[in-house]
Amino acid sequence: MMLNNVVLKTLRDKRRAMIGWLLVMTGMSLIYALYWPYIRDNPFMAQMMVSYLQSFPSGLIEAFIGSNLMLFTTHPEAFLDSELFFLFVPLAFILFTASFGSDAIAGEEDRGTLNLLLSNPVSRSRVVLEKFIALVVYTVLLGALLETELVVASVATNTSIDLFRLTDVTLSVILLSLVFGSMALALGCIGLGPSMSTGVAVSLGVVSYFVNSLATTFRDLQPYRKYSPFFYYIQADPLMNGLNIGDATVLLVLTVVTLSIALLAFRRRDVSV
Amino acid sequence: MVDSVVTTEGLTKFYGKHRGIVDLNVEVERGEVFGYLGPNGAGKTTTIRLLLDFIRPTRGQAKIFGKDVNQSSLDIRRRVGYVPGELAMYDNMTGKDFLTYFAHLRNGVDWKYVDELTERLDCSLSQPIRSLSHGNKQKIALIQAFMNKPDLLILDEPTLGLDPFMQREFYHMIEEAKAEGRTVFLSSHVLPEVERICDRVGILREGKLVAVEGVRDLKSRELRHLEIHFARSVPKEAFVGVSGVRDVAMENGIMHCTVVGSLDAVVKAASAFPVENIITHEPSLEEIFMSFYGQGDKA
Repeated sequence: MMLNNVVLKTLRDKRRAMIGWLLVMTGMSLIYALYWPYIRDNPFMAQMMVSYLQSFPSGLIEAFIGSNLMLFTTHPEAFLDSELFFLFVPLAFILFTASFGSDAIAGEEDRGTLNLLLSNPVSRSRVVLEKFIALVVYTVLLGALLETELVVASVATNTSIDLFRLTDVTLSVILLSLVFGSMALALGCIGLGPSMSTGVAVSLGVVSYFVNSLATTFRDLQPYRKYSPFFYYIQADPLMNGLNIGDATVLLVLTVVTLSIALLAFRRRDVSV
Repeated sequence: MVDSVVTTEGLTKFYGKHRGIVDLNVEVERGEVFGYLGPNGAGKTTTIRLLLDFIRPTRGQAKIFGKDVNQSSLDIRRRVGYVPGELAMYDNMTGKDFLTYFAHLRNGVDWKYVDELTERLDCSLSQPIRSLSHGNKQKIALIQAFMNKPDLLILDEPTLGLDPFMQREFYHMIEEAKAEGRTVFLSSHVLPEVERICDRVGILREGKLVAVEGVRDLKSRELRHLEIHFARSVPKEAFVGVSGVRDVAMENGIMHCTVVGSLDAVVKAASAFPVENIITHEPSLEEIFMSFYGQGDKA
């Protein structure tokens, strides 16, 4: 069953890696489960923390926590925004999709198995598309796992959290990470090795993060903010305000464009031994 | 009109400035076993990779079953079985899983035939591929190439790592494929292997096809180094002038010589003396090329 096609074979290959990523998601949920009740139930400590954070330059706070500083001790959504969804969750998702995307073609080519795979009556485009579908399936699954764990953590800590908003931000992070996943896939299709494809995609993800987060403080960065996929991920604050369809569409279009580049590039080039 | 399965016209591949193959014109007929002989780096694998559309030609064209290998790659690959020269498989799978995966990609195979091949090649399919020797991996690669009885088998150094018994079984598989009217394109750098199973041989040297010969013609011009151990001292003159014999040297009752073509005359000449042992040494491919085509053909 798991060997019927390239999608299922790819899902099968990544089963073990998914256990590791599940642990990463669990770690993030634990930060929330342990840290949030402490902040909520100790207003004095929370106020001390806010005051302490306010002593830092605002640029630094904007860069790593976001703009929900005043709310994060009183609203669980704002806490999740600042502590998880602003930096750690998207970064973890980008690491996951970029390494998955680069392994799809570049990894298989690097290990030398691509030749045998392509000697079968499967087109190069089909291989790329099926590997991409596997990437989408596992990214959605990872998002679902994270959301489930966060819901469980909320129930366990007697916290009321908007499930729809949580789904909105999870969808948004999935869309953001798929941009960088398809980018890593495309880099592999162009001919970069697996490490290089992952490295370039993750680096672009980090640059994109800083361009967006620092732009509120450094005016020189403002014009470039709209070129950052992170801008479309977080600027509407989906956890507080719901998913912005326009922003989600931009992320979706970016993924489709990079995937198209991957398909075109791989169709034309030589496959190495 | 000849029914060609593989045709190349001026097929050329350069990797940047590095030569792959140059102006290759070759025709493989339906039902024949075509040997593609050349030393390492001559361009054998490049040709095969062009035929399977893994790489694209710098110029020229290749056709399989009368169809362009790039335009009709999928149609062609439905009817082709392939064993790569540099074998890399999914190490985390068992042989059975690997064959199951490829069987699905080819819309199913006759598992009875797969079982038969597995038994004939004495192959274990239950172990993870990573734990197998190169020879056992090669057997699985052979099974996947043969399992859906393709019209054309493209095999790049297929006997690499196989023990002599398994090589013999492989030769039988090739003979069966030929008997069923299927075509085989087989690369090798081992002349005796090619002589044993092929109908015709294309000889590749430094990216250029220097000759296409029938195996009989090739054998008639074959070069061997011969060593005959006599029980006593024998005059060298007894072998000078014997048909096909050259470079005769005699030392302590051991004669060294080079024989071109049949060994019949030299064996008959030796039979006049008490022979203790006869040893033949296969010449290197480079020596064969020098013998067949001389220095002038070197690209």
